[in-house]
Amino acid sequence: MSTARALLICCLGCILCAQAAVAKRQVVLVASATSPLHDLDSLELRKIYLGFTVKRDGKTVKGLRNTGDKDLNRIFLQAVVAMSEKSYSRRLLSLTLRQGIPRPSEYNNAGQLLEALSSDPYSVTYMWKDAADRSADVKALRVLWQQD
Amino acid sequence: MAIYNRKRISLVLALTALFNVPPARPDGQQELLLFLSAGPTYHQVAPDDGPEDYEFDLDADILYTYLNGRFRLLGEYLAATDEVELERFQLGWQTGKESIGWIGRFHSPGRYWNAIYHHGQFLQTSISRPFIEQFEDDGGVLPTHSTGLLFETAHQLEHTAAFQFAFSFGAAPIIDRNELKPFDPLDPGSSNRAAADMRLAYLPDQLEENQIGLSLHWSELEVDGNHTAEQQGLRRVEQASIGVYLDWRWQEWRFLSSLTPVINRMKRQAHNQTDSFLAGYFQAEYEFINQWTVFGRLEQTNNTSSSDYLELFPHAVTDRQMLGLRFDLARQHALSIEVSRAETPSDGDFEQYLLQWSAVFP
Repeated sequence: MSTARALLICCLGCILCAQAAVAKRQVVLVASATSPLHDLDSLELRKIYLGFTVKRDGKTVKGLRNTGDKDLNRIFLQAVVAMSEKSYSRRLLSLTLRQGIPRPSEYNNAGQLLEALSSDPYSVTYMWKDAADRSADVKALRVLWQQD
Repeated sequence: MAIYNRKRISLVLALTALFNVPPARPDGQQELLLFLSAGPTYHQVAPDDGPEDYEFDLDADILYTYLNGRFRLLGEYLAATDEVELERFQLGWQTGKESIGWIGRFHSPGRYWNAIYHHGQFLQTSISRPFIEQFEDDGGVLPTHSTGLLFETAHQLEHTAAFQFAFSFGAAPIIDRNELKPFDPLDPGSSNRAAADMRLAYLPDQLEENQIGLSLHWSELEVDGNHTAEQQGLRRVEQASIGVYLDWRWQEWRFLSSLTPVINRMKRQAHNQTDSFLAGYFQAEYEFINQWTVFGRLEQTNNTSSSDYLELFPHAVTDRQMLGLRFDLARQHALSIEVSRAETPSDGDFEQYLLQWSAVFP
């Protein structure tokens, strides 16, 4: 095999690997690794983040917001609640004002988010799949969004 | 008056300075919100005891909620240039997935506008409220506060459609010197009688806010110190209303409308008499470029001149044609301007100009 041909194969391999890595960019719904939660469909998840009561084993499931990453927040708004930031913010304020339901807690810091998640096994949040794979404290429940 | 207003403003600012978000507790969730609004109002006509020709309003509405398991607490305190009042104080117990019973002081569920906005001015697109939705101390002629029991529930239909139902029974306001005065748990009186409210709403999608609904209201309003009422020999008013309302969003549009016939049985010393009036409004809002909203409202009340009951509230704005513009200048701040032609039973037509900054923290 000539050197040029070997280089070409290497380049093609690198491109394919990079494309595979990009294709794997996903946002996943996660819970604490010790959580008994395993199934939450899109409607239930939307309800959780809109202040409705969703229960598992008699416990209310809480949604925690991961606000540390702008792209992640944009995907959450688009894929989970299907609202603009403005509409979602007003919807939550309105819920607090009308029914006294506090807004979902927001976390800018990944460490604090994981701590909050592990302190309540019936809480969920969302993160990049690679971040979830790196952490032994969380388990992925389902894929919320995948890059085309 | 100016010194009095300055003192009120100082109190509001002091309360604002004290505002601080408390730390969350692991066994429950809590939230503290501060709704602030401020701005001038100019009236073209200034009747002697009606609205002043120029007013500056500063309102600080502090809302605290605490939720732990099935238990819920909600408190709302308003400190403004013209009043300081405990607006709501409710203790709730969630009886089902979408049902909750409350005890305490609350906003009457029969008034839809109040049920969605309360004193959260930032969430309300317009600066002014429709006549039929006015709070008692702002010229309202229907009770908006009650103290007693409130029950709210929802019944899910197919997919995400749902019926929502709210019912309350509690103490009604009295007809005070120049306004309705709701029962105050911090200063309880003995002459308050009963009030009952009900609202039934149909939501095609429970996760959205579009809805149409029906509201019913009944109350007994005791006269206590109102000069006009005493001149009429009026002892008590038995009031009933049935209203329909709509709150609908379609693309960038939002429509809010209500039609409410009100029947008043005037119980006098000599003879009883019944009068009625019909109040309606239609508000349209159009949002463009995500930050700007243009809005307008038409309000009309008929039988204003023949209603003995409305005679007790001569400066209530019963008719209005209004246009306004709102600019959301930051995530939770907005600037609004409103121009309207308003009418009261005693003052006739006049123009009104309102400018307001509103915000919510945090």
